[in-house]
Amino acid sequence: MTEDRSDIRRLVQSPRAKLIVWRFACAIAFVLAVRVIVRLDWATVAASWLFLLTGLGRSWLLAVVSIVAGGLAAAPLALARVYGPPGVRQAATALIESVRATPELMIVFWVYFTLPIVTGNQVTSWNAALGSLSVIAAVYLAEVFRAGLYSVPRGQSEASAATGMSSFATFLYVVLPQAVRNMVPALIAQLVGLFKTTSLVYAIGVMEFFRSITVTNNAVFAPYELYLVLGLGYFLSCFAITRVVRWFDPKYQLLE
Amino acid sequence: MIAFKNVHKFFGPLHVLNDVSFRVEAGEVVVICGPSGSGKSTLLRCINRLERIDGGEITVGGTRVDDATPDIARVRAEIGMVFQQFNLYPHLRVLDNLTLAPVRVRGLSRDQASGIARELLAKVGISEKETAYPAQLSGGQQQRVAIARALAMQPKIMLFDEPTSALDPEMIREVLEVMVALAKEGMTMVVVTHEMGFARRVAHRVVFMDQGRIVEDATPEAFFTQARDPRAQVFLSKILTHI
Repeated sequence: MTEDRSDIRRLVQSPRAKLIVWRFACAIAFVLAVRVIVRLDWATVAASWLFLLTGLGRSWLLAVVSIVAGGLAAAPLALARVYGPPGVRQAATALIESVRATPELMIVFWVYFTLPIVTGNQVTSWNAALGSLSVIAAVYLAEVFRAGLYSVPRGQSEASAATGMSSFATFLYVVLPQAVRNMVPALIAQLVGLFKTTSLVYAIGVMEFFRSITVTNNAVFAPYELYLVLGLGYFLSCFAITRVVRWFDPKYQLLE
Repeated sequence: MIAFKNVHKFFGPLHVLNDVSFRVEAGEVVVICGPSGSGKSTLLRCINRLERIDGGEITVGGTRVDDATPDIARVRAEIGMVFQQFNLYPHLRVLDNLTLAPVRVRGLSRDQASGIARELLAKVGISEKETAYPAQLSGGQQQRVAIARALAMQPKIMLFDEPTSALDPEMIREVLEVMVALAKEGMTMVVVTHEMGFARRVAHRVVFMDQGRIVEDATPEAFFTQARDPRAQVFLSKILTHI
């Protein structure tokens, strides 16, 4: 009798049995989820699909423009912090650290509300959104670039210098390609983070994805449906970013 | 070919090169040895100014290479260097590791540089690996590629900084054989190493350093049989018992 029970226990604890149980649980969860989702009222959401898609498009536009502008600013910022002469180096460090150490939302508010006081010109919420997101992207990407530059061992630039390569050629052909590849994981994390940060400009009235979901919900009240769409929209966007970055450099794991 | 005149170098309070003077003539093979921390790698790295000096004068082929030289890259192009950790470019294939500097520094066409590179790879015995990445090679193969990379610039001098110290015993031989062949061709070589068998076989002179000073500078035969300095005798007694 006791022998039989231990046999059963062994059977249940075998990896194969665990896998079957796990798959079974997943299948049940999936069926239940589908049943719930199907029962929701999708007609109201479907009616405003164009509005929501436009919002998502705006989020993408904000992300792409701020990442490109921020990335362009980040490169000199990182170079200044790593290779810059005294003075320039400290200035770059101070800028990066002060923006990083304050809430992103505060940067958005500063650009939108305070810049007009300084310049005397009104800033549209769209421009303020682009400006503040670019600043945020610039400092975070600068730190990713800097980490990438530091990740290349000193021996690499020494070996290159020893063959008579100029410091510029050494940077361009030896340090930079390796730095870029070492950056990929941190870059993915940062770009995904920046995409999600675009939702902050909701606070100054830009009709991006998050705000268009909220506005729609205020009109039709369908929170379950809309917040499912919200989650799915951000998930698919961030997943796409991850894939795109990897697609640019499928061989980066060959480094080690 | 290489001349040190009263060279001093400090790392903070540490006097790593203390009044070092020595010469290497064209075609000579000089082995530098000594206990760790004695300054031998630093001395080697001063020859192509990977380290700056704090006093004295260094000339290579008649050109000053201390701070007075504005265009150090031109001098470095004539001096090949091989490192303990190989330092191959991991993002480039073997052939591209060899052709990078000849194309960018010497201005050779890619075809010309590849031709030279293939000859050198054949010479160090790894022709079949020209499209591999460094990570796909063994340590011994990597170091032989590194030697070929240095030779691709057709240098007049070759510097070796403990080229076999990071290798497994069975790979040390294949690297040393390449170095012996190079020495027999008449290359001017300065080699920091503990491989006393290599020193005995091909070195014209053995330089022994301790605490930043050159304390012995002799032919291998004289060095191994009648080292005068007591520190050299201690060093030899420790290291020769293992040969």
